[in-house]
Amino acid sequence: MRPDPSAEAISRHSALDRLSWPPILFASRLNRFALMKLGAALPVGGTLHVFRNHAFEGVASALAPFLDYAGVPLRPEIGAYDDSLALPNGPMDAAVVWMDFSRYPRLQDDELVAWLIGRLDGLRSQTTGPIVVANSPDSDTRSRRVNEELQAWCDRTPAAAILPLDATAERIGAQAFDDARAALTGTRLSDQTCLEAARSLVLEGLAGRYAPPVKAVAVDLDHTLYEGVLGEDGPEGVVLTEGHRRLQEELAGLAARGVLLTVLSRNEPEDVEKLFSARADFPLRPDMISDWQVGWGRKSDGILKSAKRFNIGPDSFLLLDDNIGELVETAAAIPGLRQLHAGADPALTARALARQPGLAGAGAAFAGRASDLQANVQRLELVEAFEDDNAYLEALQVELRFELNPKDRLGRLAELSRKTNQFNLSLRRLDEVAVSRYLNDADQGAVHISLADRLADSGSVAAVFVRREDGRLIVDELCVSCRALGRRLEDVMIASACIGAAQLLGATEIVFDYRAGPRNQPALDWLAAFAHVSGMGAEGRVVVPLSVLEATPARPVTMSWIDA
Amino acid sequence: MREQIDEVLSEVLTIALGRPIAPGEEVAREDEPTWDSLKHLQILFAIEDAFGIHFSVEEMASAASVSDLKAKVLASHAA
Repeated sequence: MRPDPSAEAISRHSALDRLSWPPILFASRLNRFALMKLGAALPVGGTLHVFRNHAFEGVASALAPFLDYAGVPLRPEIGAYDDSLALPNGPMDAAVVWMDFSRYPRLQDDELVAWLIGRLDGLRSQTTGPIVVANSPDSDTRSRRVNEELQAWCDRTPAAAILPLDATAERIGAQAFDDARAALTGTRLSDQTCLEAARSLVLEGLAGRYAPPVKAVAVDLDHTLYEGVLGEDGPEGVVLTEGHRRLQEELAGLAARGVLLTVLSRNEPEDVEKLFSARADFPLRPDMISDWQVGWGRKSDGILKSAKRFNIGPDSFLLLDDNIGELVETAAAIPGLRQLHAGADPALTARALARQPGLAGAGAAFAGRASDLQANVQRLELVEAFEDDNAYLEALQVELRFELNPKDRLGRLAELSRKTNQFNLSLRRLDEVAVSRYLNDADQGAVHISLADRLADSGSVAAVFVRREDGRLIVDELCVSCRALGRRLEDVMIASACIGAAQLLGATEIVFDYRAGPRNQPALDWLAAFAHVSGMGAEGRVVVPLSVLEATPARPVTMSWIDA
Repeated sequence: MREQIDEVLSEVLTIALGRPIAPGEEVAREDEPTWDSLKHLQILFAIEDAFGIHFSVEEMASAASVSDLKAKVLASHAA
């Protein structure tokens, strides 16, 4: 069964209910009683198959609140105790491998590693879903070797992640193990380690796969970024506590990774300007902020304005605010808005922000986004200055770089497929395993497109996934990041990618698969205009002869091809 | 203290066993089909975390009812 990625489909709690969860979910020491009291139920959705040779039940019984909070639609299905790591024939949506490696005293280290990696490769070939492998919590020589080999396997294997029990054990110390109770619990691990494993498994191992990406954070000022009220205490009077420092450092780190930051505050704009000028001790600097929505209007309006400016959906925002009233107002106005309540403990808020689903993995997808955004203002000025598209593009000095089957971009290609919403033609949401097949199969291909102009390097912006079928090139998936939209480049970019792929695979006709979703109208509109078709249904195919693509009007852009 | 223990035991058992257990209500493990060995561990660990106590292996194995659990919590606090 294919998991339904929508959080609504799996949750019995409202977003507002979950606002009170972070102090429990992100506590420095997890508490099973507090987790139980959240009353979270396991989601209805796909299966998380558990391969184990020691008890996983202590982990499984703590998973529900983390799965619910992160919007991960998986339900654990625990297999029998099995030292042989036998693989089942049935389907599984995701897998976790939970083995106690101390149970193999008769195997030499090399034998253990070879056997383990062989089994994991076998597992990888049986499912396209994510695989999370718990490493060894022990610190002896064998365990270090096993953990190194597991990490290397994970690095070269698509959609694989390590559940780092070694780091958990190091952090917890001697209490990470509970040998005295092992006969009762079925594992050498303590309950505290099992709770930590549940948290890591969901937030670090699975959330990145299922949680919608957070592209921007809107952050309040008073009692959120510092202690105090700017309008009453003045710029010098508000207090940067150690916890607030950590929170600001976390936000600065997100900005460095390309997450857009909006200051969203009910204050006077001149007061806010004075604040950031006066407080050199703030780790969050004005040049890290991509947008300022400061004033007395509704905060939901501020987020909507900022979303428009960033060219992203408002549901791609996370709002960080101490005021429950503001959180209620924005939640009602913007469905899907992620929220984090900045409670009384700013250090906890910082920890929660660092592990926030959809945000924790932000990196490659967002690199360069902030500088690209600043360049957008100048691009808009150029649009107004030039009536003619070609003159506009000439002034921009656009460079498009096409890469055919770039294996080193597997992660980014999957990310583009999974996370592009507005310009995604078939909504297939290819995972890394599926993308790997496009990259490696002789009858399939993937084209990656990078974009730069004289104002900024937009980096990785588009992907086209194709296969050959009866002499035709089937475009299974076509996605263009919102960063590349609005520059009048869609026709030339997509036509060139398809022509290159068609030539490689020997096709003379191009077939675009499409499926309408809640947000991909821009992609459908493009296809209808490009192929001159009308009355497109909810899903279907549009056939375009190669000659039509080749007749796409040339644009004054520099294009280069790299064949991997 | 006893009232607080009753409240917490009621909460833990209500969640773990999936049916309402009133504060102070006596429930025996042998009479509850859902109180299996896995639930037993979940209940004991939750009680440990609720009160910041630690049960011995013997205490874990011998706890067979709400009154047993209450006695062990009281004993831990008295120690």
